[in-house]
Amino acid sequence: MKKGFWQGAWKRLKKNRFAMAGLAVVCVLLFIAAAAPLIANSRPYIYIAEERVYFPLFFDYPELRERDLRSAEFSGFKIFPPVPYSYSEYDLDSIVLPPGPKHYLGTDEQGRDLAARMIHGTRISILVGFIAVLIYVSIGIVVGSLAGYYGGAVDLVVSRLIEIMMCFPTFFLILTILALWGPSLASVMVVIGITSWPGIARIVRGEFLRLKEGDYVMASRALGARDSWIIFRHILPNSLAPVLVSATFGIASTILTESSLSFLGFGVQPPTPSWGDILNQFRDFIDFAWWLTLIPGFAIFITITAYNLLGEGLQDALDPKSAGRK
Amino acid sequence: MQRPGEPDGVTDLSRFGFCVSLLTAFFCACAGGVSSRGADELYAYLSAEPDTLNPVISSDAYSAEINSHIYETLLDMDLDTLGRKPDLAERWEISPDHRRYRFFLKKGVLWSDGVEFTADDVVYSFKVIKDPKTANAHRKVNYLDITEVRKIDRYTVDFIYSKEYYLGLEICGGMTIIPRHLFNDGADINTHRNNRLPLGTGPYRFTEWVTGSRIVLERNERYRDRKPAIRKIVYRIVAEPSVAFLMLKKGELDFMSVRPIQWVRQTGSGKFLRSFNKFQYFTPNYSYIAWNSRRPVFSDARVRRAMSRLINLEAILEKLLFGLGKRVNGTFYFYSKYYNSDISPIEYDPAGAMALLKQAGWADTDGDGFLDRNGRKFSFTFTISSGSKFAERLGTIMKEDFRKAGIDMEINRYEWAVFVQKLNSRDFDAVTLSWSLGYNEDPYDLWHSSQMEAGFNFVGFRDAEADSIMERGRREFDEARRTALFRRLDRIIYREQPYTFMFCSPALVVVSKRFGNVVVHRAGLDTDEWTIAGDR
Amino acid sequence: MKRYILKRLFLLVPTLIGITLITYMIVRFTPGDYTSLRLDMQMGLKTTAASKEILDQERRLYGLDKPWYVGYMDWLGKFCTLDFGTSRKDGRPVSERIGDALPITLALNLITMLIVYVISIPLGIAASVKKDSLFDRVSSLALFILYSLPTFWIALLLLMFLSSGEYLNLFPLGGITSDTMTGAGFFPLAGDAAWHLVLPVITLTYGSFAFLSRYTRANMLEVINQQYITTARSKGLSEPRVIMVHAFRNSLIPLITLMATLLPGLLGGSVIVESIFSIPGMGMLAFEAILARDIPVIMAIEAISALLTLGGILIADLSYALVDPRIRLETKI
Repeated sequence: MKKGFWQGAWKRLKKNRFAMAGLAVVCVLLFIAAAAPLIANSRPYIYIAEERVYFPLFFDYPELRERDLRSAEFSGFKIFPPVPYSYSEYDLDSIVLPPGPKHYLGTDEQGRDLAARMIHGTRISILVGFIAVLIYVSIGIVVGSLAGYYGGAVDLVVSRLIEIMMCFPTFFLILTILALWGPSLASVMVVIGITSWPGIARIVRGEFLRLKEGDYVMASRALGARDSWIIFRHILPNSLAPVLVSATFGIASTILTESSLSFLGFGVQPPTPSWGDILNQFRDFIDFAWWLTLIPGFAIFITITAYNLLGEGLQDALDPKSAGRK
Repeated sequence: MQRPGEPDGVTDLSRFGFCVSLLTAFFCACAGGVSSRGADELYAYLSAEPDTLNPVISSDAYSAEINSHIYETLLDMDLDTLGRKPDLAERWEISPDHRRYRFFLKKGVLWSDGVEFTADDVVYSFKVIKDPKTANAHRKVNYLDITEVRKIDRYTVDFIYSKEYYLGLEICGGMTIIPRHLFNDGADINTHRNNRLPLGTGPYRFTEWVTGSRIVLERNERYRDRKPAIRKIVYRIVAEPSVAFLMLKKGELDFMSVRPIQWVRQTGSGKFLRSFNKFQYFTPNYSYIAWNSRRPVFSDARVRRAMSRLINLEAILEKLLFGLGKRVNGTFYFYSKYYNSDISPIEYDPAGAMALLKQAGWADTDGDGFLDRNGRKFSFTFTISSGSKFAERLGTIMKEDFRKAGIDMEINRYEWAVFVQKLNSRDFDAVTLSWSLGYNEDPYDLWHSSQMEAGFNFVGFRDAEADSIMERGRREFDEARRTALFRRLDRIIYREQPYTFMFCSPALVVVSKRFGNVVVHRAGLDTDEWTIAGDR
Repeated sequence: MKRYILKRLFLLVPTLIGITLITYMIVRFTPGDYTSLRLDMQMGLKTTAASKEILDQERRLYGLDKPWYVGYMDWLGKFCTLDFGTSRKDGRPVSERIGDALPITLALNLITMLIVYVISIPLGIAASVKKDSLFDRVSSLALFILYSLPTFWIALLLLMFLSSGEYLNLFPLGGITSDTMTGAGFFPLAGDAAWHLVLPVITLTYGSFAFLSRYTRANMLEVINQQYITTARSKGLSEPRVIMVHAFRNSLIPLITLMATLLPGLLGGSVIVESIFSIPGMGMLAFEAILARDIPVIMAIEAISALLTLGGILIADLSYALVDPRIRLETKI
């Protein structure tokens, strides 16, 4: 039953143009994130001088360390990445420049190239989105399936736990964890992961409660199958559909959460280039340096739309009645 | 597939939308648009609400700003000479042993509700300040050495010191005074309802406080001196600085301090300059990077001197701060007499820095691009607070430059509460901050070794000669001798480099052209003397 | 069923205690406490070793020297008598501070909820009726786009373009009342407040249309395909009557269920929207309290919102079970 189900869902998804557009955008972003150091870097791919061939971008050569290979003193054959700047190098002579031939997307208040920062920022967005969601989906599945399958006292305790987590002021927890463990990308991801699992847990629990009384479960039990077998082989795969949908939306909302946190000053550490952080630092310049606010905002917006369209498409595709449940 | 008579969602929606816009228009019409405000009203800006308007308890700059218009003290500071001049006291006497300060109060001074100001108010205020049940630790410490404030008669009062202190007159003259008849009713001063209804003798009286929105002051018609031309001051509370700047340009705020980049790039257009004047003046402050001498990596003075040479402060001042500021070499205010101008601030000198580091034993022995010593990499954490944009910029520049020199630096940004806690527990490698000093700052609190554990000497600076200079200075009433002592202190601190001293930054103030006679004194602006220049 | 309700109500108490206890512990253990914060707020102060004594004196005043379990019991005792304590920040009773901020947040949230419901539901119904039509597709895309725009970005852009006077000058730059309105009559006052709230409400509503209209659409579709609708149609009832009376009424119940879960959200303000528009609501109150380690305020807000959240969950669970008999509230033990 499983294989046919997923294949049918994929076929339905392909017919949905919006969802496929979203998928395409997500793939592009994944590519950019993976290849970021190859797309934006101050070191060239290849540098040939005096009969020696260097690959400065890939290898570390002590004699070329900390030397700016873009300057004219390094004559010879060089090929640079499309954006020949690193995300952290500053240039106090090029402060807050508009987009131009030298800096395609302009520069920020320290002369850092915005294009390089946006490209490397893609990594942060993808990382935050995927890892935080991975964390809370895993926790949610484990907790929800235990509660839904075993019921009784387990369910009682777990449901209360879920309620407690839902009541918890997320922001407060974030602040505390950041204060105690030190601010870093990892802390932000972990803390979003820890505070978002109740939603998934409730979904999984609901699915388990529903599926548990199904015929094939009864049959398996009658045949003497172990609990873990029933859970993993029968119920869990069938309850994954709404989880997948929720996770896709979750990635979008995690990215939004991270950028909101950065806006309030509680996001990643400088000089890490997260889009939300870029937006935050330069909201003072909204009236004369429009590129610093419009471009990262636009990037966030496109990314989130893509994930949401994909999620919606998945929801329609995975539910054969195509009416969509909650 | 539409069947006849089917509900057309679109038509429903458009009918609905029409109703909504009608309703909104109705309300907007009722609002009647923005009423024009009076020409004699000043709109000022606060970025956060004050906690309380009781000057004895308040600890933030916002309440200090507001209270400066309402409350007065025995003596005032002359904005040009920076000396003491009479305010609530008409003259004073100092005993030869500098232990007794006698103040003769002006007669007939009224609180803005008509009750007369007398020595009883002064005695009462002192009692409240020293009371252990009053939550004002930050103020109490100033008065530790004053044992008593004694009423001699209705208009005469004595301050008794247990040991002489060269700033005694300034402290007594600047003590906050609250009206006894308003607060002395047995209620707890920390939660007294009059903490939000301040009453003073000054040129303005408090009118209203709309929580989270604005605080309004109006001219005190009972004021004994010349009354200011501005009849009403409205402090608008705006949390978001970029919105505040938009308000300034729109004309909803009349004056504001701006950052260097705003000064240069956002306040230069013809349109802006038609409506605003710009003023620049220095106040006692300096920014610095503090190196925790207790950490092994910074315990060697040569390393600290090297760090100061690795940061191109000139370029930062010129390009990041647009040249608005002055390099400083030490802990005293650039324009004060203690500043030792014989010492020039440290120059950017990477070669010299590397030499110093080498002397201290740091070299790249394992070829990984970073310096190391005894097998440990030269790596440290730079701790900053999340409120400071300048700190972030500085940090990212430092990280790049240090990496080129072979030093690995990480930036950790904390919210203010945690940042302060780390400072207090000395849990940091290096931080950046700035000190905002008074005009008569005693270096004892920052640099004396007794302050290493619990005071503001959080870098652990300790030097025997410096200690003795500071102790002698506190008791030295001869200006010339004290100046010589403190200049010598400046040299010692310069040699040790517990801080990398950075800049003294000017206040950059923009004032609407609706106000005239905006004069820049040595100590800044005084809104009491502004005149109304007529409508724009 | 009754047994279940009683059991859940009874369980409310330990859950609430659990939440507030954990909150209190976290606040006490987070680095930074109120007293040292105030001392260090003002730079360049004189401190000596003797000031440590003064600091401790002040700690005792605030009860920060007692161990956390004592502190918690103190708070719990006072809370049960509805005494929320005094705010550390300005010495005012916590109930007064909440009383100032709550009406503003409540008004904003109610208006937002009203607008979101009034726009989303008809949209969802229309989309379900015209499933897969151009209208359905375009509205769905438009709503998703709106949902994806970050709030703080839109808020700043709105202010920049509609309020600042550089481009258009239609609305004020934040706040909830004009300074010149003190003592004005009710209608001008209400109008002035409405004028100030237009931009914040836009910011709060635009992102929420997507979810609710999709939810309505989904529920309607599920109902429309049911047998009794086909029956009603074949009985010759007019289409509007079929949709509005039969279909919509049956999809109403999940919507009401949804409202119950939104209950606790009524009291919460968005820090971002409030700080950008200078609105002194619950969001700013809670945010500032956390940053200042103002324990009484943090505890009070937390306890009240926990209570409402738990209540909302209970109502939602009950109504959901009422609607769908396939769902069992709990399994047999």
